Amino acid sequence: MSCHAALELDHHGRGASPVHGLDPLAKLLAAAGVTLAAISFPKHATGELLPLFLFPALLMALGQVPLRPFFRLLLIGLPFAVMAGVWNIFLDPARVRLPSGVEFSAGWLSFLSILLRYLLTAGTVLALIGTTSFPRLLQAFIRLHAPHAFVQLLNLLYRYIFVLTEEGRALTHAWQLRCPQRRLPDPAVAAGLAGNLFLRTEARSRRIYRAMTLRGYDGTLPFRTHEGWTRRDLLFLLLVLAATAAVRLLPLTQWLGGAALKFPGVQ
Amino acid sequence: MPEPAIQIEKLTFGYHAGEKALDALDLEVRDGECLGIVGPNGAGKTTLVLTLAGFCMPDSGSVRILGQDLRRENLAGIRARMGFVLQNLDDQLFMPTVLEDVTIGPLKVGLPPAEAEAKAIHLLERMGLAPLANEFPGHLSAGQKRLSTLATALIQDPELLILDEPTLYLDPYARRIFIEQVRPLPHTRLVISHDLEMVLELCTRIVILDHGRIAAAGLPNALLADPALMAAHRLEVPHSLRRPNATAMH
Ligand SMILES: Nc1ncnc2c1ncn2[C@@H]1O[C@H](COP(=O)(O)OP(=O)(O)O)[C@@H](O)[C@H]1O
Ligand SMILES: [Mg+2]
Repeated sequence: MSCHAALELDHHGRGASPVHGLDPLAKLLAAAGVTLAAISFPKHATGELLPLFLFPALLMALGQVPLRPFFRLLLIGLPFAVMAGVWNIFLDPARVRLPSGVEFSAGWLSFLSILLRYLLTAGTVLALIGTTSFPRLLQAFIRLHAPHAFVQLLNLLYRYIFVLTEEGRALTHAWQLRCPQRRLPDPAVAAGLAGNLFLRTEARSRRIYRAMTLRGYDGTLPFRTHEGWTRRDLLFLLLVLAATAAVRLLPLTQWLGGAALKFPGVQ
Repeated sequence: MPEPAIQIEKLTFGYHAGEKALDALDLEVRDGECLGIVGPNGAGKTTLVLTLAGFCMPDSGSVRILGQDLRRENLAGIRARMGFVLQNLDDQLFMPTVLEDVTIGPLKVGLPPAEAEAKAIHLLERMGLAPLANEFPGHLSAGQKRLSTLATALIQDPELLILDEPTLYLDPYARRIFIEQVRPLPHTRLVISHDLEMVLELCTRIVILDHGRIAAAGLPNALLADPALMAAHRLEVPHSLRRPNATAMH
């Protein structure tokens, strides 16, 4: 089902809106700027990160990206972020004292910070896909002279998601037709189905690969047209980078009266 | 006489040792003809196509295509001169949109993107596919998928066109449109199908393939009208060729 969400998001990425019309490279670089800013904040940063969420939120809103597949995909990665961050609660030796006098481990703050950073970066990537579509993002990577192997790997993963979704769906339907009373197969059957799914996708990938070979596929990505970099794209990129730099370098949250957001006194 | 488009001699191929999907097959496809290949399930028709595409390499025998021996080092060159519509409907369109799918071929042979796209749009218009240009191929109907696949083959200006069960899953209307697209093509064509009425319409000559070898060859009207021959290869005389007294027997 997560594959389905990915497809839906990607499909929306081929739509038309002012954000969709921006050069993918401009969006990619802007997203990279936001991500870098998020990573570069100190370990306990929480409230300071919040303004950065404006970037994916605006992309989503202006591009009218559907929320369901977006949050579905975001949720999938969340457990991993939780696992990665939860140790901080126990291992961070620093203590925090709130104005009210309550004191607790700063690990909670770094934990929260990791979650926020996950939501921010993953959300940005998903917003990017929903307003650009994956293949066009890959083209942007190539224009950045990203390593060939890296781009091809992403490309193959992307194609595999298609195959996996369709075959998975066919298999699920076949299962549901023959055992309509049970939504989920028992473990023994599930193992069989998984094996079948693997063989199916392997055979299907092979047939698709054949078709690609017949049309001259030689391991490189084909391009339709080069995106035109316009003044609008430059303006967009500069605006995002300037705003991001401001969020990162100026104590914005304090100025905006966001003192409540910023936990004072980490020792 | 010009050299045959395809010349196959004593071709043997098996997926597993001891089994022969193609068994000392001899076959000639003449320049400019539209050759039909009919035969029961498992006869080796698709295997023959995969061999011509270079995906199954002969265990023995020789295959000559468009004047070149089918060998690994010739593959890319030979493939570039052939167009394929393969049996499976869903596996041949692999790009996000129909237009991109049709454009890949010319891009790959080095046409500038704008030119490649113009060529693709022109072809799509000619085939009545222009309204689908920006659709995701996976969501098309069977007939639309078939036509789009034919477009991806034709855009490469092939000298030889190979169609494996092209009308499978198509409704009569889509089938008709497809046939009318294929009929006027000037290419040498190899058409594999159980759709015997289509074979009658399109092909200038047919062969019956069974157990990996040619069982009979001749004119469509003659071969397909022979009830004993048809029955011997799990085929059936197409309705349009049945004699009135034969149908009156029921
Ligand atoms: N991938 C494969 N692995 C093993 N055997 C195969 C494979 N594909 C086809 N065969 C076998 O080869 C024979 C010819 O199959 P095929 O060429 O698909 O027949 P047709 O297209 O005429 O129906 C059949 O006996 C079939 O079972
Ligand atoms: Mg077949």
